[in-house]
Amino acid sequence: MKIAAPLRAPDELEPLARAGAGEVFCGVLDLGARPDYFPNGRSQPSANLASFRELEQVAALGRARGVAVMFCANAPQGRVQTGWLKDDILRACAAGVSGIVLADHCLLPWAARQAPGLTLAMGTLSPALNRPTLDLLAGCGAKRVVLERLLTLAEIAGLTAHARGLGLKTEVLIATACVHINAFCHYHQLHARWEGDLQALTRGPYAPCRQPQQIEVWDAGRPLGARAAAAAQPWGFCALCSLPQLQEAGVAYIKVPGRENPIEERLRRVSMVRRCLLDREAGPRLHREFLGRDCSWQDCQHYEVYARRRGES
Amino acid sequence: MTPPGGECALFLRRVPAAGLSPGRLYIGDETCERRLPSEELLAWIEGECPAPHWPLTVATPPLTDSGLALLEGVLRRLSRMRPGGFEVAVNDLGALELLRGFPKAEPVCGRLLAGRYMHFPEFPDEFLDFLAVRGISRVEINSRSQLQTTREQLRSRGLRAHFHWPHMFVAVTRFCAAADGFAGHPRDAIAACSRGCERFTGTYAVGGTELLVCGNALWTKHPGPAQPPEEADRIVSDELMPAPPQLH
Repeated sequence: MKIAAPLRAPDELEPLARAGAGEVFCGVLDLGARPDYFPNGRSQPSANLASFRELEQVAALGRARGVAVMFCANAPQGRVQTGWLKDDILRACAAGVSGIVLADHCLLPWAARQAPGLTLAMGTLSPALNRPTLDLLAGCGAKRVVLERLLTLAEIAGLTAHARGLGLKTEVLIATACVHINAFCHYHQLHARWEGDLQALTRGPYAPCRQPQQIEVWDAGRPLGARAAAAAQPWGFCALCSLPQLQEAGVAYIKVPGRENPIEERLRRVSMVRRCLLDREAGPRLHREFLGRDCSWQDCQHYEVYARRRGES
Repeated sequence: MTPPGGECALFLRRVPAAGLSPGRLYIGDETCERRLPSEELLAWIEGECPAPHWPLTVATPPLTDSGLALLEGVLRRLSRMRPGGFEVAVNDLGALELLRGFPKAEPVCGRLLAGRYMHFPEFPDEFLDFLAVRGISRVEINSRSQLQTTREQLRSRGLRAHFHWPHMFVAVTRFCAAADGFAGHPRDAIAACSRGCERFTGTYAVGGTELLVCGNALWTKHPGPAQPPEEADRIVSDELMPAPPQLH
């Protein structure tokens, strides 16, 4: 099982590799050239490399260090922007990356023709929740699929077994903080529009759905009163305790998300995942270290792990 | 309600108490696999529906393997009930794959799939090529602006546009607040379902826009005029379930 870590500057490759990353993923964003073009899942310049020259450096460093470098082209695009995205993918191939992360399965056949030796991975914005989706993606040329993060461990194991038969590898996120299915979520885009501030999307982390709101609750049309809650409950979504089971299921990659985080935080997360892979019982202890509190049902990404542990204790 | 030269459909979420007269019926659900057409509703359509010839569309959500198995059963039954054919609005690539085995089912691109491009003025050609290869000639559109800016592009490809009224889809989760979160333990929602969606809804406002927490999804009313857009080839009237409180 390899750890895939987010990278946003060439000099981060070495420390991430030392912390345990076997692969890094990164995007290139130049808002100066095309201010409305966001080619990957992170619209903040600080979460991306600044140029394809930097990507070339990262790819060279990765080859020297034995760390795969995946280029993120993982956001759906319109007609014009898809042309730009294809140009970016060709430039990334020329820069020497190991593979491309895509969001749109419709681009797979084209990418497979353009980059026959590279790993084509479907990212979190192209969710796989079932076996026939894996069949379709494999048929289009995908080599790896990120499984939807809201799946249960049993579902992940079933899909991973099926993927193996198709020659596909699976990847699972280790920590996230959103309850929405990424691929279909319009909350951030619409929220920025409702607030009249589209530029908010390009500034730092933007997670309005995790801000508590006063939600009026209705029971069959009758008001029950207000309660404070966030559209996406701000759970920590820690999956450290699930790592042994994910490993046994044959999941090939563990993705540490958070390109928007400072390098210290990303190193901490990668290091924690590595320690947990080395020590199967370390989950709860590392959880305390990671989130500063004991495991709880709110935090556990795969609730069945927490429920089983609670039943055992 | 009917667009000029177009079609009017009614999203039917339970056996109706009174008479209906839509041009087409929608059944199923776009966001939750636990709300695929019930046995009771299918029996009503088969036996008591006042006009069994009404055209039928089955709306389908993102699906796990378990959900696909349920859908397969529904499709098998509808293939017998409707030998003349029926539509299936798909919001999951796996569901689209499943339809290959059901020649009576005509695939429609659902608004969750098409909505992935809703913040752009045009669909990518590769997406429209994919729809053509899959024999899809109808697309459900999630926003009025997407409908207006893509209408000519869709027409030039021979595609018809559907529009659900009056709600726009915003987001979907498997951790269903309506199932338990409003009255219990939200993290059991994947494993267990209390059908809280048949009772509970939530509302809140962001920047003057009111949001509706209904079932396992977030919705809002389409902004703009109070009437459905004329550009649609079909308007699907859907008040969601339960009927939400009146938003401003």
